[in-house]
Amino acid sequence: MNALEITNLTKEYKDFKLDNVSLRLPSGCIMGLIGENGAGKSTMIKLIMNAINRDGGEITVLGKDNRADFKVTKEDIGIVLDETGFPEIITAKQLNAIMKMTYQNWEEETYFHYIERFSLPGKKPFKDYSRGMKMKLAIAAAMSHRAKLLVLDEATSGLDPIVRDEILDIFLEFTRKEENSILISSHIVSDLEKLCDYIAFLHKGKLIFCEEKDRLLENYAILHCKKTELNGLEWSAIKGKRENSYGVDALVDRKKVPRGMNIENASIEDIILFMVKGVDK
Amino acid sequence: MKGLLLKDFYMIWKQAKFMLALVIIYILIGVVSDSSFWTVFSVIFMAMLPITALGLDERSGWTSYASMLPFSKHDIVVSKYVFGLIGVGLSVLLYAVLTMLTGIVRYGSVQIDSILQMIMPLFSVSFLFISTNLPIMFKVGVEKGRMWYLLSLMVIMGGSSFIISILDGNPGLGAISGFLSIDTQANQLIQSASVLGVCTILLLGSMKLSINVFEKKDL
Repeated sequence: MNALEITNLTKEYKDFKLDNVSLRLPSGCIMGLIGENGAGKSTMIKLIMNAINRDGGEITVLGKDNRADFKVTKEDIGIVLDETGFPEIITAKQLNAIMKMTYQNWEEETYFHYIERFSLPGKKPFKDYSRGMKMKLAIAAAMSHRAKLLVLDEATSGLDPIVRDEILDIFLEFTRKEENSILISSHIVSDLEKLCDYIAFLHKGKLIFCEEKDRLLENYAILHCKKTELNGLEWSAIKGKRENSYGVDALVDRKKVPRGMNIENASIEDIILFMVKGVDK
Repeated sequence: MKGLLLKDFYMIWKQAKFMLALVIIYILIGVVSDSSFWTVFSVIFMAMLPITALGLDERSGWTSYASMLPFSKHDIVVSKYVFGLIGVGLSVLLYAVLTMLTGIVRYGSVQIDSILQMIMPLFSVSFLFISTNLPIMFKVGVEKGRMWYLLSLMVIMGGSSFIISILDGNPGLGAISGFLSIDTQANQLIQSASVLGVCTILLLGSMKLSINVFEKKDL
């Protein structure tokens, strides 16, 4: 079963359009949603959670249409938003009481285990938390009701590298259960590279690719050559290029590049940066 | 929905002690001075609670977050109406208790009649306030809806104090009382009950409208 299936999803605003996006997240996998500010990541997450109305397309979450009895499905979804959304005056203890009355499967012990693990103060109002503490509280809440799908919007931003690493391990631990899946959006490509099985790249409202991470790393490479050498390549082999005074660096389809040329492995960040340039041209 | 109400309660709790003190002062001023204006104001003051809570929700981003928790948009809207009704019920209860106590102190007896006579108009006015405000707040938000809120507050406060004065049989308004045929206590009760009935229907209609508005809204 797929944890998430999106087909031809479209949402149009005055100055922005999420355009015909389709993707699938298989159960037990982690998908990273990458894109610049305003690419449509948060819009897509809001559409998945049915918080905004779509103009077209279908969304199935945990095997169910997200417009049919979604309240029940939401019991199985843990959500972390960029702006967290907790009232300023609420404390971690009060949040436990609220969530206890919200989720049928709320696990108080698990929640306080995370509160302790993240060293969060129980009685301090939310407004006095640092950005990192706010995200940790949101993560603790999302992880404490036996969710099968975590939907995380910029959940690791604002965290210091050590905590970020710890939280990424918690997410990896979460997907050890075969039925658990994660959709995470982030600006921090290195986090997604470490965590994800699939990478979906949104650019200006369009899905540029949604691919298994390992396949992306296998398929693409960085070619360093002279401009004339690049011009000799099949055009479909070149996905993006960057000219400099020494020659050209290009993202290429590894299979379409003749042996002997100077290529090196591309990182996910390389692939995205080159592709953005390719798309914009 | 209990989770939503508890969240609203926590948000308001810090201000609640101060608000309750104000409500008690308004009611006492109203009871002692026989002025319905202050009594009406105290009840409307509590009917404003869902608007205050909605404003705080908007500021923190809670509305968007809550729509992703196991609540429907219907639950979010209904919880705000229920929260308002709890506030109104509390202030009417306070009015009844304080009027009883002052009646005992001033006249040596409990003024049940005057309390009953006042309770229905108080509920009517607060229902009217909630009904006319919440759909607008759900549609445009508390920040943008502020002008409407102030306007409705003035109109409802002024209008209701005037009508309650008539129902109270204010001698200065005798001619209007006569015109409206408010001559007996039984008539007054029937008219108050009718008005409350209309305001209750209005409240239910307002809630339905708010649900429709909110379901179409992108959060």
